[in-house]
Amino acid sequence: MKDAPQSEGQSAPKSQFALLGAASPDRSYGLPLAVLAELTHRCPLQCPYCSNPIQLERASRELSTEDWCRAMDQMADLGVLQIHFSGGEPCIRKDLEDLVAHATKVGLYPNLITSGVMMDRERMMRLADLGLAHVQISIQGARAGTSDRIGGFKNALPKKFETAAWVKEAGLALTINAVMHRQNLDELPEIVDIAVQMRAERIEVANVQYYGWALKNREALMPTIAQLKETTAFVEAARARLQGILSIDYVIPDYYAKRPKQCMGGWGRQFFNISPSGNVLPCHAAETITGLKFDNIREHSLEWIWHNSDAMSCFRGTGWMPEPCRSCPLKEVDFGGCRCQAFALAGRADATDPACEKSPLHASVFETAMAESTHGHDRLIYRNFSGTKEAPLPQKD
Amino acid sequence: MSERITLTEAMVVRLKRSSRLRFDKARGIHTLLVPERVVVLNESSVMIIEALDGRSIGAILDDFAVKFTAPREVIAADLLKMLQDFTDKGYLDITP
Ligand code: SF4
Ligand code: SF4
Repeated sequence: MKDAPQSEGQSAPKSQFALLGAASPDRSYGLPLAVLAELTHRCPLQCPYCSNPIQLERASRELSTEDWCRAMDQMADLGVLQIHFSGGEPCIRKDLEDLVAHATKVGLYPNLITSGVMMDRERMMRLADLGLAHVQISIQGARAGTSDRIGGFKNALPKKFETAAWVKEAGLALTINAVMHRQNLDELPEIVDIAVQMRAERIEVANVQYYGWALKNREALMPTIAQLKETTAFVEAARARLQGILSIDYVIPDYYAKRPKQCMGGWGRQFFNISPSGNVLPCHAAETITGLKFDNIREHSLEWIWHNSDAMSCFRGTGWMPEPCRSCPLKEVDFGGCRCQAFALAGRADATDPACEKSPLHASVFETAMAESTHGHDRLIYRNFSGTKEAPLPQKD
Repeated sequence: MSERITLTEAMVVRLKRSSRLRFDKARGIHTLLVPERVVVLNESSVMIIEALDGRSIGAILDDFAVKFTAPREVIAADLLKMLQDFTDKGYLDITP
């Protein structure tokens, strides 16, 4: 399930690593800390905000077990500490056990990002014995109707409850990923209750980021300002109430913000993503930017790619920035915001992120968001291989 | 867990299966690897974590007070602060 919300996007690991992002003496950037390994684009769910590219990759192009193991050897040598097995749905890969075992062997901390609808108890126990540390399960809605409709998959919730119970039985850490938008924001209090019931340590509440599939569905997903105010107040109260029980990570949608969200510790500074066919991306959404040339692990070592790939270095640091970022005191704080969003909204990946108040496009982005949130239709375009199809209008309940 | 746990000296705390102590060769630092975080540890935090071997917090404190010839209250304040923080974040298993 490629919908694990994180502060940078639906699935990119967050930059809680600032401390370690320090540059080495001879370079202006550090070593990568975490890798998102997208094992496949295949997925039984069809979330309309998936951060996978519109052009999904077929199974026949996926990397082999050997390719992934070689990549993990190189990650460990390069200084990577954590690996997030994601997708699509990573449980579709029959070699998931081998990959987790190899990650453990080379000292990487393995995390599984899943929809939780394809797990069975034996497999979970096996994965735990092979060193899996942490599981993130996505939730599309707290009510069966919402969950089925948003995910485009019947009866997902009971499966997720089962999987969560196995995670805890195995003694692993559990995070609930909740991607929020207009059609499920009102269920957030119930989703938080579910996370507590499942005995999760954490919940990541992220608002949809609008590129790729989500951009196609923006009208149907954009939250209203009233919803956001309520959500922010709810999260603050819930954090106080649940201290020591459930940590809540919360990212507000930046269409309504004054400053853009930080680009995960900076482009090409702490993190990279490997696509199912082996392309190395600075972030999970980077393939939405057309014109970037990515290097592939079938052709180069990860060390070479980290230091030499054009895609990795083109927006690294601050040298590429235009005004107003170039002379802005915050340029080392947010690194100019999100390149993928700049491309989606301004048409240029090197533009100032329109989520920033200082972007000339900010006002129009804000107005569009307001208009879509109140007048937009609710019909969803699903993420799937066979082109898109529209959902029936939601049943009012 | 439905209530916050406040640590006391009688309790036994251990690293969860999902919290892993690891020396990071590339950067030359000690870390605790936990979900979505890399906690950088100094030498004393490494020692505290290595002492979580099934003894009660009180027993560890007695031991440290002798080993480091420092006032027990001073060590206790630091140690409990760190372990309480880790407990709140869900990194530890606690036996009352
Ligand atoms: S102008 Fe650029 S650097 Fe400054 S806050 Fe806006 S996006 Fe960030
Ligand atoms: S450009 Fe930066 S902020 Fe935007 S999706 Fe990629 S990593 Fe995230």
